[in-house]
Amino acid sequence: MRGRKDFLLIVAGAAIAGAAVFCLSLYLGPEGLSIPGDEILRLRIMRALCGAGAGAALAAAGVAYQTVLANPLADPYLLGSSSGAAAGIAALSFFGVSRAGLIFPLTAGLCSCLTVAAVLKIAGRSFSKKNIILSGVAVNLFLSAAVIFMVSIRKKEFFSVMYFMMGDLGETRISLIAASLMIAAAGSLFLFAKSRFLNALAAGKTLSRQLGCDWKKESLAALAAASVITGAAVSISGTIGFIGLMAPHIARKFTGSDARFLLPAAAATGAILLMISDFAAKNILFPQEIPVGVITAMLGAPFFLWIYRK
Amino acid sequence: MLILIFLSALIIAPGCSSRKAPEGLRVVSLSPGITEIIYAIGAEDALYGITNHCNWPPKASRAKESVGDFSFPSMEKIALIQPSLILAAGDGQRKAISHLINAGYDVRVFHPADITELFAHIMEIGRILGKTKNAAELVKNMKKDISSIPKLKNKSVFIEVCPKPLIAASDKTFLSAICEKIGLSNIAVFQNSYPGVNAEWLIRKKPDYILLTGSSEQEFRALHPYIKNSKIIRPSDIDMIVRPGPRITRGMREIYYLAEDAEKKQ
Amino acid sequence: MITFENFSAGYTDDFVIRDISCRIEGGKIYALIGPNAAGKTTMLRSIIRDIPRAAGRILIDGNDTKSLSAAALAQKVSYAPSEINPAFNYSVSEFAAMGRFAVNRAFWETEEDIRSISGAIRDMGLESVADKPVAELSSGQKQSCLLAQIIAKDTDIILLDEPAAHLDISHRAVFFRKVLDLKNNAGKTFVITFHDLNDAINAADEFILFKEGAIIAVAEKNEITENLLSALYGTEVMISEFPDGRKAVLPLFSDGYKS
Repeated sequence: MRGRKDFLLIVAGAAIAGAAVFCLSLYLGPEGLSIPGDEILRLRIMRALCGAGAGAALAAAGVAYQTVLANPLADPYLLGSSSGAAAGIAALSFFGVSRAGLIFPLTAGLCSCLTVAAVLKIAGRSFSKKNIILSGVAVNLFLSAAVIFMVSIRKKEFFSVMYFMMGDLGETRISLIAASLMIAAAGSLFLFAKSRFLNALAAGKTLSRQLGCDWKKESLAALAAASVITGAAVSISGTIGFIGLMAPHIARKFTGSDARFLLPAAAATGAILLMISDFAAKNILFPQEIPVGVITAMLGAPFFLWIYRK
Repeated sequence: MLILIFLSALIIAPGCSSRKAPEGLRVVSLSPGITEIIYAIGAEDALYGITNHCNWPPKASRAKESVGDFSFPSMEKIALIQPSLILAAGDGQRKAISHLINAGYDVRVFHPADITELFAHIMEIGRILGKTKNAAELVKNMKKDISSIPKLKNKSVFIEVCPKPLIAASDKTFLSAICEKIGLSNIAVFQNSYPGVNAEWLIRKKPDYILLTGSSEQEFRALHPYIKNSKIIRPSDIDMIVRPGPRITRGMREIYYLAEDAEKKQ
Repeated sequence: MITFENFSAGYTDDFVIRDISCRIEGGKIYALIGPNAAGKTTMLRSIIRDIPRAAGRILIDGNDTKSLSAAALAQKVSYAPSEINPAFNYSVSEFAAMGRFAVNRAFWETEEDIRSISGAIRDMGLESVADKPVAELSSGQKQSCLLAQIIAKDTDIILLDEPAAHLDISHRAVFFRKVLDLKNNAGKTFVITFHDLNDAINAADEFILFKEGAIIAVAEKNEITENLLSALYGTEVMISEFPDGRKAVLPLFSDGYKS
């Protein structure tokens, strides 16, 4: 059984790997390794912050969703949580609220909570794996349609919103990034502190009850935290799929399922995955940009099928 | 959805046998630029339908019926108007155009690559609508107008279409061609017209000017605080520079003076 | 130690168990027997509040389960379902360690926690698979895992739902040996639902006979008669006793037995 020592090793390894990729993404450009000018460096720092923050947040949310629902296919994107957040943000833009500060990540988090609640309600009491994913997909489609409807009324935002729906890490407004990262970090720390509750919840409803875990209360708290984290991630990165699915599964290969070890490892994995995906999105057709969600979906959809077939 | 619209257009189309209406031409303009041309050559009597975006001259939107959106016009509305001729702009409405052609309408597409082509298109529209003389007059005046606009020397420009994500108008666009005409070379050389581009690249390219068409200067600066090396110019009326129409000369003149002013402020 | 008072439970008006009353004493093995869907599992899961209560009360050591916190309840009672299919690759030791969560919720396990976890794994003979994912184990090993988790929890009352349903004969022997050992040497109380009456009659001290959501009789081991079982299951059964004291319960598969 693993203990504190292994924990320190895992956290140190995760931190070193994350920091290495972070630094690499600052100095690696289309022309190879170089020390960029001031403006470009700052731009890359913002971008790497968004990528690392959103990636880690989505991965932490993914761990919580998968664990609480005991469903290896769960992910903020497939559950509709991301779309809920995006719809909330689109609605704020629609009513002319400018994108800054706390109001965006908080609204996104709230909408994401409501969406997950709706998806679970539709999926029914049994929480069957396929039901949850199917109702997630249906709610996803509905919300995307709602967003496109809002965009159709206000033409001006068309490109922004369409890109937002496919992931965009070009955010540079520091107040928004700071607020979102703080919310995501608070939510992730909450989940981390509840690690042993998550382990009990992973055993399923009945077993978690005999383990002394108030299943209803604890799973609601974890799902809400995961949704708030997702909202914060979406407000700086748009809807990016499959990071929350892939990162926990990859990290599990190294740390096992115990949430105390899995959460930090998955967060680092998610951060690294998204930074690398964004590097690809930025540089494959440089200077033309591809939405980063396209890259993560190209990696993630086959991954989903692989997990599904297992 | 589009298929439904298309099918209903097919069903309604046979009822439109009066396409060569005795009272003459029935024109629908699917482009704000073309609407402006039609008014400028005094052929608006033949105009029966315009789009929601056709806001110039101001009386146009009051006097003419709208067939809806530029990219997704209502096929039913067009069928009700029973046009004998549809004039379209091409870019951004290819799908609608192919539906209209399949439904048997006479659709002419005017998608000028540069000013010279625009002049040819004005002449062609004048010929079709029986206003050759007016069209020639308009072209002559525009040419004169353009020749009086001074030229900038060896200056580069980035033409912004959307601030976030950053989308450019490439060298394949009409907007780029009019910038070239006044001495601004477009740094965005791409295969497609409106590519999403990387902000790093824009910083490194250091164009002399960034021409905003999709955001205000304040919005752009808030979204891109690290783009500092280029002077930002933003025309008062974007329609004047993006529409291939009679007002383009005023738009070109404004770009020139904005650029010159920005230079002086340095 | 556990007292049911006019207890009914179920999700809707169609209660699965209705108006049951009985007492479960400490240090004994109780067998819950009866036809399928009689409400045996529901009765067990009601004790850990996994089934909503409709009427009546369940008391544990005099306290209404409703008034106990989730943690306090978990420190008194353990429950093992008949089957587990863990969704992720939790290892056997991690799975057993979850049991200590009921005792100590601190972020890290204490020395004592770790001692009792490894003790439980050793007790159940799972040392060789301690780092293997539970999902990859055989049914017998999974049951041992559940029992290891429960041993690590160290509660006085242990509820087992058809623990032997998927076990072969040797695993069954090992499993019930362990159960009897826990009763005899650690004074644990077991309430076990049985599918196989042979297991029940050889392991249990007391019988609670369940039919159509109600208790029709409570009997000691030696009060169990052929008539009682025949009436309970609606088919004729025979109980035979071997010279060494073991018993067998046999149904009639045909009318052609020699008399």
